Amino acid sequence: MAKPAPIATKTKQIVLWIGANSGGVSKTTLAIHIAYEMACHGLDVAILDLDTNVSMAQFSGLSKNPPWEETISYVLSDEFSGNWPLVTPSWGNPNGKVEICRGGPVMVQTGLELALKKRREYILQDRLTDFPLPHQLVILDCPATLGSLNDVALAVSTHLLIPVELTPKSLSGCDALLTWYRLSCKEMRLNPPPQILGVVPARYNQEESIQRDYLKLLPQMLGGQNIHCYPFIRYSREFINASERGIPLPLHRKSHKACQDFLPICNDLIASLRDN
Amino acid sequence: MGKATRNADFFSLSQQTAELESAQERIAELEAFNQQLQTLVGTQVSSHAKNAITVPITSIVRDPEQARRWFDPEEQAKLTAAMREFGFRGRLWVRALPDSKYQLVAGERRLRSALAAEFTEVPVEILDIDDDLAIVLSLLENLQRVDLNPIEETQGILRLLSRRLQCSVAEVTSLLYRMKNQQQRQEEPTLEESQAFATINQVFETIGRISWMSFITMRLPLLNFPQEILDALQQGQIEYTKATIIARVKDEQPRLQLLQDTIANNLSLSEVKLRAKEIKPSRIPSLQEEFKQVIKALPKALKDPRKAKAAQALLEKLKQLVDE
Repeated sequence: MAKPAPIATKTKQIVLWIGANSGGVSKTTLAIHIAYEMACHGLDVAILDLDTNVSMAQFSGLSKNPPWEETISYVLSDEFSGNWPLVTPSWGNPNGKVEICRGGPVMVQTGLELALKKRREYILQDRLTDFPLPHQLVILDCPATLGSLNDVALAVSTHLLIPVELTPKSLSGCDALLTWYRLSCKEMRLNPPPQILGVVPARYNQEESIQRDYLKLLPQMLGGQNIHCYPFIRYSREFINASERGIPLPLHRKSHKACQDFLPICNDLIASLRDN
Repeated sequence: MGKATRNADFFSLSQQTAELESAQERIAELEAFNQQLQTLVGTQVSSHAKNAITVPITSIVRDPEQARRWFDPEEQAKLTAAMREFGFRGRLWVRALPDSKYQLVAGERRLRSALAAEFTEVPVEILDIDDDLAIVLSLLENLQRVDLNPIEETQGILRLLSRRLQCSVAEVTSLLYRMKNQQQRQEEPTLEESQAFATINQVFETIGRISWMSFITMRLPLLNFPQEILDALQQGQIEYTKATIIARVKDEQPRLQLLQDTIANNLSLSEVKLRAKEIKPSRIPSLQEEFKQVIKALPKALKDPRKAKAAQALLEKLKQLVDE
């Protein structure tokens, strides 16, 4: 008798762009926790860090000063020959595996050099076509500035996840990001364009009335564009404490309520992988 | 909420971009469809004179029989906005009437937007076509409505077929079922039938959004919905998705009640589903009827290997029971 279909086959890979147009809205936190949760479900996840900061290395407990050959900058260079410099953090084998390709300050230079390359926006897409990664989920952690590195990420992604903080600054930034997304998809002739998985309110602090109000209003604000609004990821200083130890929250405080906050997103990703 | 109402207008820029995008898509769609119609007219009225001019918008009259009942006001507003921005695209199709008037053949939606955008003149193409072709073209254009629900679409296609085949809608339906049966049983059609089948094929190719076979199996049954539900759909009182749920309620009284409540209170789809589930049939079905129902639903369930395995075990038990 036929077995039920496996969750994912090699033919389907989700490339998830996590991006924002304002800093400090939990992009890296989301990337790490989604990756960990998905790996707990038995899926293999690669995180490609395109950000110029070192929060990915800090949050995952990896060295913040890797040699150039161990960064995504090397992957995007002409010297790359197909050997992806992926490293597994100490917590990266819960069931499936989490592997990380680090970015960091080298990406500033890479971003500038992109301007001289042919097919610059498609460079990562070309790398993944020529040297495919076997992971079912590839997460792109992107800089908070809309520029060349985000064009690169947009061109290769299948899904977008947009964290926002419930503040005027972050919401306005999200508006600009969505406008950039629409115009860039058209300019780069992305067909089909990556799908917006949703906007997720992060660092939600129930104590602040402005955040409570915006939380109520957000689905309505996004409804006009048919964009899904996820339940919030709550603010907790335990996230900071976990990042200090370089591990995800479930390993730092197993029964912390915030651990559950990532599930709706992960369930959608799993459903989407299963669809195929 | 706090001391003052919060400003929630953070997404106006991306909202505008999205709206513009969908308006442009709609224009592209209309242009593509226009091309399709051009080809059709090209093949069917090639010998007739075509005439492209600009006429005062007030000289265009709509065919009262072909006027659409309902347009989605939001879609219409988007098209109007796009027209203000980009001008009038394409040409309306008209037929010449006496006294320098023109009867609209295709382009009702664009005409409405042109009026709303206060255009005084619009480009038209004057087609020298007979009543019959005018109706076919109108129907075809109607079928491209973005807000057409499956029942309206089904009725439209049937009307179009009845025009092209020169027979009543009832005759079209029986012809379609014959076509399906003959295909499935691999029978030879008569000469008359094969001509009709060729026309039907051609119509579905022109419409291009549904095959004739799935039209027969998926769409024709929709017309067996209870009349009050068809009426409510026709008048745009309920959404199609809700209608399909309500139609499944067998008993008339609770069905009417649910329909009324849905319209009056604008119940959500999940509320409608819940209410429909709560309605129990007034007569308890016999064991035999229940068996029939289960067996009817069985083939779909058997596709799930886990269920198939369980069903097999039950089947063995039933066999034993019968043999006792």
